[in-house]
Amino acid sequence: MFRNQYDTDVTTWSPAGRLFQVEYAMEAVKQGSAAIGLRSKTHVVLGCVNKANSELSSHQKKIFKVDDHIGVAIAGLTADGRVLSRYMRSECINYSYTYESPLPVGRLVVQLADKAQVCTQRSWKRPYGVGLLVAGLDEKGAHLYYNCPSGNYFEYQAFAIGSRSQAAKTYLERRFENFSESTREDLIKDALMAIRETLQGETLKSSICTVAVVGAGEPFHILDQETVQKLIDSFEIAGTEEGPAAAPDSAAEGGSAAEGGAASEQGAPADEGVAPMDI
Amino acid sequence: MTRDIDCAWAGPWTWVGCLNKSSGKSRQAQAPTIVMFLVQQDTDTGLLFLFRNLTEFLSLGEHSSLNFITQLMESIQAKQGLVGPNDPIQRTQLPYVTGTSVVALKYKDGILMAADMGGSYGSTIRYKSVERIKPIGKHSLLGASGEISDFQELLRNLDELILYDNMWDDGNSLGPKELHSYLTRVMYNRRNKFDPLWNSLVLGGVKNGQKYLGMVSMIGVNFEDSHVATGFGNHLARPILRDEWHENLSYEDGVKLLEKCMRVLLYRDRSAVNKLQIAKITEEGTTISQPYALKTFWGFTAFQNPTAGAEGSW
Repeated sequence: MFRNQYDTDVTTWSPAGRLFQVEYAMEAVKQGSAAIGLRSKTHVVLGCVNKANSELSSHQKKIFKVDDHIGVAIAGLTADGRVLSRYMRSECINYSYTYESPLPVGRLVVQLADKAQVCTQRSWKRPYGVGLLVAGLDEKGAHLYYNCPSGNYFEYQAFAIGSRSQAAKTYLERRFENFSESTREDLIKDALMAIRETLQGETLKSSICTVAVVGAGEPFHILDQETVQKLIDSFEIAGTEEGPAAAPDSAAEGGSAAEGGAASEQGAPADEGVAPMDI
Repeated sequence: MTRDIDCAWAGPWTWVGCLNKSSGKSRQAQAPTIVMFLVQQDTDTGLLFLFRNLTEFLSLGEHSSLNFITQLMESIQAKQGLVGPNDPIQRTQLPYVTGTSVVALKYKDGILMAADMGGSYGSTIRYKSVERIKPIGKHSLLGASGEISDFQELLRNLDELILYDNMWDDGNSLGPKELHSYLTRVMYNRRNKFDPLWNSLVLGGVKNGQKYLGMVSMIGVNFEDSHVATGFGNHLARPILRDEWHENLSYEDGVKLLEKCMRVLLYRDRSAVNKLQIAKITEEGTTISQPYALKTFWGFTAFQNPTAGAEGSW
């Protein structure tokens, strides 16, 4: 059951300088259904794939509004994501009570990262099993951050997390250089395209994805399903054909999105030798 | 027969106990009796009384022991004046050194603010070079009337706040609007502790081309306006400002208008002194003038006999 003798608790180092429990937590992010984010100078768009647990249930919410100027998309343990969203909401509301102005995104992200870091250094805690794409606006413009369970955070022009996110990343990497000047509509289109890359042949429908926008003069909001479907239709990107990048990447990821526990064993050999805190 | 006396410290109360022991040699051995009573720990008067009378106490009978306790309690109650750790918390009820009015207005390029430099100890003008206008961060000016030391404490707090804000080094900074809101929270919070900061504050600034001017009172009342004045200024300067202020005041006209207000205050407010500073804040930054005096003319007939026609005054 255990991978090795150094992974029984979060504060134990392996001789190679790794914290296995933290790495397992980051593995949980890869298991979750995909979430993507991209930004221009004035707007940030978040998108995610909605996967229902069973035929009989609805899917879980993966994009949360934190404040008028901040929103998050999560991948991994949804329950942890909700706890962190609540923390972020409370930080925002406290800041705006004191200063009557919005909390700068970067500061919220640092606080969030510090909160996650504490869990990597206390024997009686466990790291959060969730990755967050934090989209927001402040006086320096639009921002997109990725917060991971290790307590690291990174700022991105565009990023994707979760299962088969590599396909979306490949798509975004091909196009990110133009994002800075993109219009809001182009960003949404690229978001939908990136989401489609993660679907592995499944048809892109508004029922299996969520898109949210925040931008100058536009408070963070989740686009309603009807709007998303119209956009999909107008962009004519619903096609069922295999996305060019999807096939090779899904193989690399072990196609393991659905099979919870088994995946961590499969995923393990792939990232052996990876520096411990890398995402 | 011997008596032992001892005390045990427990929380704010002290048990003082006295034990009567019959000496072993006596035939009719008495059962030991214990007398205990509570003394408040901070009542050193009471304990002093106890130990001073220790010898006497040891020779007392049981009946007089009770009497002794009564005396002890009375001596505790008689204690007056000093404040002990368990007495009700006392707050400063009155300001000590105070500054008088601050007057400020918006003008074409930013904010102008004026305040004299007097510091009154009660009604005595005790200090003559108190700076009551200070820059806060890059975008704001703070002027204060009222308790000078409260203002200085507030300045220390704000210095720390700005320092921590700068330490983020992320291009975001607290502007006048944020600081005004923060000060409102601080003032209202302190008044809710029944320990207000005894000031009226004027907060002005410019950030991203936006001019901002507001006030906070010692109980947290706050508002924004195009021109504001604290204390006597509210009665004597505001009417002038209402008549003469307009949006496009030039720097020179703004200064002239402020000087007019300050001159009226100098004539009619006994706490005002003829040494003032005028501060300017624009998008470019903050400048606070060197102290200077206004030209005055005291030969007006109304000043010759100020109480003439005011029946009942001396």
